[in-house]
Amino acid sequence: MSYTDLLRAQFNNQVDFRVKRPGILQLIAPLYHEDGDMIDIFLEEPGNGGGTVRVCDHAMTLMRLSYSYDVDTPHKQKVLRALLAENRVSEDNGNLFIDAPPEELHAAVLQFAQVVAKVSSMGYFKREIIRGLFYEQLAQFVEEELRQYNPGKGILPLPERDDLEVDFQFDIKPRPIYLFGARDTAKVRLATISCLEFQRHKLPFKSFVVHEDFETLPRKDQSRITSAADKQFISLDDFRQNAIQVLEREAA
Amino acid sequence: MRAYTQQELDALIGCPKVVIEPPRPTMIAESGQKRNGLKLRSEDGADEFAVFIRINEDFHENFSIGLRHLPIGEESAILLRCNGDHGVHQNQVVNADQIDGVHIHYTTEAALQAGMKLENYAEPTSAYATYEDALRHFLRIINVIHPELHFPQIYQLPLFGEVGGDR
Repeated sequence: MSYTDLLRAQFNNQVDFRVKRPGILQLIAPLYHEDGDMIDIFLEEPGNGGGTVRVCDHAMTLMRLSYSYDVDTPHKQKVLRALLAENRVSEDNGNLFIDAPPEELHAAVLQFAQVVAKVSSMGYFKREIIRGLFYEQLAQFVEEELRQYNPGKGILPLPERDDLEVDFQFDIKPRPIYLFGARDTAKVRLATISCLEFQRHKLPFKSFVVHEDFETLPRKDQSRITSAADKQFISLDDFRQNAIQVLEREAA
Repeated sequence: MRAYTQQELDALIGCPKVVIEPPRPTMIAESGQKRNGLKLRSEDGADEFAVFIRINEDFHENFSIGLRHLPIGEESAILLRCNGDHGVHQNQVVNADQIDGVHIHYTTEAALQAGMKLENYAEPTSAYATYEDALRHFLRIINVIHPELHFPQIYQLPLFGEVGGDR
């Protein structure tokens, strides 16, 4: 029995094959990506006399991933290599593959489809999605690590101006600290306007700003917020490392 | 993710766009694919976009040319992708059509509301068969101004008429 007949039987006749190139078959099976495209699985006999069949994707998985996410840093490459190694899938110039004897082809195909799905999900690591966690991570740190400073959330120092909200207030004498998280230029500008308005109303306060990434801000935004705020943390890591020490000094 | 309406999606695809970062003169080969890209801005300056171009090195009919919207401070979103003949596509929103052959993925409000992959819906097309035809079609439907300046190789007229043509 040929390996295609064997695989067809293993899948209860729910699969088909299409000749993609001489010696290369594309598996037609009800296995789909999230966008509705069928998962690209190809079958070929390596021709090394080993009696195995190669289940592979001819680099289609990494190509599809690159529409929204590039594996372009040593850390990302390390994650990909670990993911493949842990799932016993090899890679050669982007081609992901498993070699399996015909009698184990059914399991190999299912395992391969799982790995394709896992690699495809690396797109969820992309910076713009992780960045969405910035405010959650800031809130978590404040609420867990800075509790002794009685953080108040969503404060309106000028009750008639509900558009000028402070993310957190720390009740420190003699002046409370207003803390703004700033993930992007829009929030940096709002923090700048808020500080200037509070100053104009002669409120007693000190302002802290925690940036997601100060270095990526336009130069003019950097200048404006530097002029308006009392203290800035250039990143969440900077805030995590130094917040307690800075607040201790403020409270001393 | 921005809550696009279908009207906004259609307007973003069709608005006139100027090239602000041109493509490389030649595609680069990497991890089994050839790739290129460019950046666009809407003519009114309100929106920016990225175009990605990918061709599989082993199977040149497996390509994808996509338009990504880059809203400031928000997650980017693929608006459409012109795909080659890589195999079967199964629609899961709008309808349940199964497509075999070249097709165009569109982001739909229906997919957005269902929380599905945005460009889940696809339509078959007879507008192109090759990568070059697909790129021309893509640049036309996303309304790039003077695309011939950036892709001269696909806009050069053949010396003796169309290959396979009557004359």
